Amino acid sequence: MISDTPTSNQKNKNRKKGEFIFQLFIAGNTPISIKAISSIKAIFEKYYADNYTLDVFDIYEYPGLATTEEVLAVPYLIRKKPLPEIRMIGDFSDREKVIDELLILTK
Amino acid sequence: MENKLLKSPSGIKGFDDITFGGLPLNRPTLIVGSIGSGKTFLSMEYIINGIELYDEPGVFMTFEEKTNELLENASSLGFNIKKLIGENKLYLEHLEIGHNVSKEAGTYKIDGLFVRLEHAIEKVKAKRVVLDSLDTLFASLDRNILRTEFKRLFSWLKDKKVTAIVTAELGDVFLTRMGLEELIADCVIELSNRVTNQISTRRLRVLKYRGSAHALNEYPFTIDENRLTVFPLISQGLQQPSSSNRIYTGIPQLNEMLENKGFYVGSSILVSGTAGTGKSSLLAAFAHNACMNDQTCLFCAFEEAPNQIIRNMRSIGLDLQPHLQSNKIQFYFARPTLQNLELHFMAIKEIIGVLQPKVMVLDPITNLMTEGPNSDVRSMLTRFIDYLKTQQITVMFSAAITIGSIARSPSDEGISSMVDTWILVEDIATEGERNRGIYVMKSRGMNHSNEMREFIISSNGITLLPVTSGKGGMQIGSKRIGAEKEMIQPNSKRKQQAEISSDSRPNL
Repeated sequence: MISDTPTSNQKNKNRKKGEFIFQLFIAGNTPISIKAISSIKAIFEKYYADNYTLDVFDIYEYPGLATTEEVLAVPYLIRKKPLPEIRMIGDFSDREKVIDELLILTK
Repeated sequence: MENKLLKSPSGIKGFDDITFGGLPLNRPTLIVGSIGSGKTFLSMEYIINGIELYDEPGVFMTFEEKTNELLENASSLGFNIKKLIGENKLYLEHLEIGHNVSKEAGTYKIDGLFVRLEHAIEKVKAKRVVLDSLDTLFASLDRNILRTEFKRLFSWLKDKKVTAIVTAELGDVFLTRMGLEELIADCVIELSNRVTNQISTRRLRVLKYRGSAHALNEYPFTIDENRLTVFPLISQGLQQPSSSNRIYTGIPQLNEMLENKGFYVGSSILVSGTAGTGKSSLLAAFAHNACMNDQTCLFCAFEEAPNQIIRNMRSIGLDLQPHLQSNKIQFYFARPTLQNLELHFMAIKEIIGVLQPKVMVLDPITNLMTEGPNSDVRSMLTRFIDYLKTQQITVMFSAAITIGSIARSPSDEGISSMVDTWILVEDIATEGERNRGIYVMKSRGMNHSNEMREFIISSNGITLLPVTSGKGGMQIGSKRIGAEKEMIQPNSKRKQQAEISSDSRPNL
């Protein structure tokens, strides 16, 4: 499901649950926020199955986090693990781009 | 009262004059300019002045310079930012879109900026906010979405009741890269930095100010170790006082040519002539005389160093040294090419503020116009002369002209129209001699003499001789002496005058 290249396959097999850790920053309960959450979840479910963690923060509730994580535009996704960090802006409606940016290898 | 547009004063010298009070209160203002045009500095000074002069805390969000770099830059310019941050009056933050941020995958909002701004404004209870520079921050993102978001930002800022400055770089198609000028409808200010004749001049112009009058011209401004200063000599021409008091020229015979009273106080006098005709001497005589009458004088020298002037003038009986010691005369000596004309004038203005001179001489003005009197320099000079008029300072300046230029266009030496009195000194070459002639080309508001007089500089000072007519018109130099000798009746009147002038010189 994840990848068919041997090295990648090997890696993914060894991964424990929650190896992919993401933070998603949204601003309020807006249509864009809702869309972002559902789009990204769909992608994660497909490619990471239950091997990921996604924490969603509303920047209006966590203004301090917005500063420390340098959030300016929302929705804002940070891949905390594995390193390097990857940061992405948008509601993730551009599915191809998300997959491309997160270096997810597809068939 | 409700209709009146309230303003937020910048406290910047000259800026509040041209905007008639400052920036529009609780509205965003766009400052646009190329790299290095002074946008950051102007914004920073607006914030600092807000804290120091008006007790209004401020938020400075920078997107270009790192916080510590900005701190260094600002403190090198004399701002004590750390202290203000410590007192919780200033909030400074460096914002960046973040490293490793890929382009947007779908639509987005910039609420992150809102949240962080809100936090900052709340923290210091800010009344003033700067976003420097907004378009570079989001330069990589989709412009169409950004425009909508910026619009939301500006109305959000209005709701927050803060006066904001948003800076942006000059764009190619629009004024700014993202067309911010269309979104910020209230006030747009343009800064530029142009180089003419290898001298760069910063300029400021208010492009738009909704609901308010503003000065329309481009005004030069400077940034020095202290502060930013806009140099607006605006609309002063209308309120100039015109004095009917008179001031002596320093040369009795020249006074005679001017109704025996000399110049008007607060007027401007141009002495023009070719090289070596004695312009500087005339200026020195005027300065010397003013000092003798207990008036302070500012001597602006662009050609000779003060010591050299003192030495040279001593050789013609004008000792300026005692005046220097008694502080009646002060020199401003600078090479014209050292800095631009505005800076010279500003430095001079600064001295005027302290010295409060009654008299000023500028020698020579043409050195300031290295490439000939162009309109730029002329308007600058006109405004400067207007300023001197408002201060009731009588100014005499010299202009070196080339042989033949008078014959070509006698009334337009570029600067002649802006002066009240124009004295021309001329070199008259006849029969192996060069002699000096002087006449008053014009002198507004008085019946000046139309004579040309011979003009003699000796160790006793400057003397003007009356016209001696003889065969073939005016007699000058050795011809005049010959004509005098030929006369059976000695011209006692002229002799007397010459004696009086040389004797009375120190007691002018």
